[in-house]
Amino acid sequence: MAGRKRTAKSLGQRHDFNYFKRWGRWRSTRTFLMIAFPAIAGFWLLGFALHRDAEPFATGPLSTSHSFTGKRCETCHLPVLNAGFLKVGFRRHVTDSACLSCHQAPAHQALQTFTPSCASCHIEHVGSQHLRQTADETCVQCHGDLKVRSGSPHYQVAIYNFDTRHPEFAPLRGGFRDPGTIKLNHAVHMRAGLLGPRSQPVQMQCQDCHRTPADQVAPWKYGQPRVVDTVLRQQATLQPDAPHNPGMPGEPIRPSAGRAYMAAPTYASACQNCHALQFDGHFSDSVPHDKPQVVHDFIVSRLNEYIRQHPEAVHESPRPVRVMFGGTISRTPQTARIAHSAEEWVRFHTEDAENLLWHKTCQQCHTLTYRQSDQNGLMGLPDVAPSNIKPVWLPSAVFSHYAHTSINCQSCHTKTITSQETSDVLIPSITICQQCHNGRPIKLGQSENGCFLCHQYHDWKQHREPFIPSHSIDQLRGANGQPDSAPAKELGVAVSEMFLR
Amino acid sequence: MLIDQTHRPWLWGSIVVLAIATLVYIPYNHFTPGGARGGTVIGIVYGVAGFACMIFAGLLSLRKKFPVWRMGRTSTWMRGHLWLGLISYPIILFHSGFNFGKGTLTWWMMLIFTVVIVSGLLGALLQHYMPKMMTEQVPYETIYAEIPEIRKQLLDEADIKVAEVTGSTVSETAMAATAGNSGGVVVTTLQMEDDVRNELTRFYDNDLRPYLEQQGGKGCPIADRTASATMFVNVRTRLPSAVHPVVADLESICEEKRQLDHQMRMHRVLHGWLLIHLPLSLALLLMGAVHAVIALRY
Repeated sequence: MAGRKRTAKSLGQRHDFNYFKRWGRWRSTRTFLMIAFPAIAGFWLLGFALHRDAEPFATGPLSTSHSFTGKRCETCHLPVLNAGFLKVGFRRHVTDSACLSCHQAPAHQALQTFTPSCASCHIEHVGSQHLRQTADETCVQCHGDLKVRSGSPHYQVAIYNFDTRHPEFAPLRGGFRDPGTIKLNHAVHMRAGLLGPRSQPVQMQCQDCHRTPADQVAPWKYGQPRVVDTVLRQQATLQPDAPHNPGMPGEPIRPSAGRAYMAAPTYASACQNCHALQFDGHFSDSVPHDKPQVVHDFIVSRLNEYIRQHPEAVHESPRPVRVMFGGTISRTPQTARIAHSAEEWVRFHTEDAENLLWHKTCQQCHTLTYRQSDQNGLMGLPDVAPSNIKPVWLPSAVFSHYAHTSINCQSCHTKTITSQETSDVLIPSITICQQCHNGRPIKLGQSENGCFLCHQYHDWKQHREPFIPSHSIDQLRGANGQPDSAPAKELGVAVSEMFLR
Repeated sequence: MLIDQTHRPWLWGSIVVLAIATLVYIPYNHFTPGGARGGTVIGIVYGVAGFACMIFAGLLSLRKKFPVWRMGRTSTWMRGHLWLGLISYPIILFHSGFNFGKGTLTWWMMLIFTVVIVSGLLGALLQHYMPKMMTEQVPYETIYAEIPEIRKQLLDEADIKVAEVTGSTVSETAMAATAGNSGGVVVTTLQMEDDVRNELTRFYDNDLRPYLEQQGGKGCPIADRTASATMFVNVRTRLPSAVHPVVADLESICEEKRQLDHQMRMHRVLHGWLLIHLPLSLALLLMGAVHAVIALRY
């Protein structure tokens, strides 16, 4: 009986030296998988290709605004090279002409040295909701070191982002003053217990005077509807929905429509209830808030009408009046002049009324100048300085008060409550905006602050050319496009069903 | 393969390439409108570089198919496969701007690429540690593909050994094979008492032979080394010392079978990742080629 021997020879003899030629289970499985996996991938892609479905091949989903084109890549991806009627070339990158066949895109600046392609700013196939939300870098590639074709740049030459390298708003730089001429003391108007209409104490709010155009016709809580409504109705009829074509309906009403900017406060909507323009004790109504000549004509007309109806008034003993010189009232009442005829009565009362208006009532808010002068330095009808109220302080930016409805006015307009001078610029500083708009990228607690949020690249103000559309719905959606061959389509459907479902 | 000193040049080369790629990526990502993405010039350069690394890594299997080709040593190709394949992943991430694929095809490619890289890393670790473990734990290691054949030979050898004692009939094939394996030694049948014969036959038929017949040791107590030792001790105590050499041979056969089973398990672990890595790599290369053509065109 021999024991087990494990010599090299005995061990070697146990093996079949052609073992590597055999296909064992392990090798067969591996080979099968190495064929099967690429085959599945290939058929999967082939299925989409035959089915004319290019969506899986795209690097990302279309933006929502272009999603209607569906699977028709050729709507935007046209051959780059055109040889006459023949479209050639391997590359089918999206060219500007493809974008401009559907979109209008006014130029940015006449002096710009570089015009980026549409697709370099409006990046498609990244699943963005809004293609207008361009990246800051698209602006910074020029505005980081701004150069113009001739002359020197009108704007800040180095802006990188809103957070750090954006300059303070222009009206707040370099001692800029409000050019408005209306003498308004915000501090007085915001004081508690201010006497309002009917001598009732009121606490004014910013919205009492500052309203968006959409809200301007709403009645004022302290106002007398009788007084205001007539004027506002007149304004409304002067501003129809479609100013250039009164027969056309206006734009569809959206909550934000007409609520972006504050309208310049007008006398009718903001001042009239407290600052009445009474001119004579015989009348309870006010003169129109209009040019001095209109006011003068109104006064003369009303006095003539009155004296015609009340001829006995000529002989009434006049009451003493105070005469005002350039807003200064004389300390002692002047002896009233006695009229001897209706014309003289009208002239005296006109002079008294205009003395009141020009030297007190109007001058309280307006700056008046006189072309002629009398012994007191004043004579004739005054000229009223234009109000110069700026409804939009930052013309190169867009802003919406509607988007900021939830924030009270003083949070941003911090200096308003203490402002006493018209010349105070009361728009918020950029640091106020940066408190919230500091998201780069947006994250919880930080709001968007991309350039696109406030600035528009395309200068739509200069755009005047009408747009001529060139596509039909069928062309865009593919209903009338190149027909798929029936066998290829059937094969595509079959392959798709096999591998996709 | 062992990841040893010979990998150092590849390691440093990969680090340098990755560092350069990172240094380029940071300003590129910062100053590119909309951030880094595959469609920009630098993004395409990253994509081409990453895909080139992937193709090189994929060529390893082709190199192995033709070992006689004078195209560098297979071990060098293997190192290149390992390190270039590894850095291809961050380069492709630079290419995509660290997006995990927003399109259907690109999403699947990134998923497959991730699986390929993870399985490759796992494979590299296994290839580094397991051969040493196998050498230690499986002294009777043999060619994996031959294990079923050798298991049959062990069964035949055990049958002969038992027949020597019990006098039971053994097939001539088994006899010849065993004789050959034992150097042509002629076996003789021992004169044994019936109870001894029955005891050995019962142990062999009930415990040992079922274990030697099957692949693995499922349901066989003797598959466990400790239990096996106890069982063989018991058998020895019940059998006369003249039979003990046969019992020792049977125990040796049992141990060899146990090691072959262990080798099979280890082999599956050592090479199992390839069943994922290789097919997915090929699928990825195919999809990558399609992606490259479409991306460059559109």
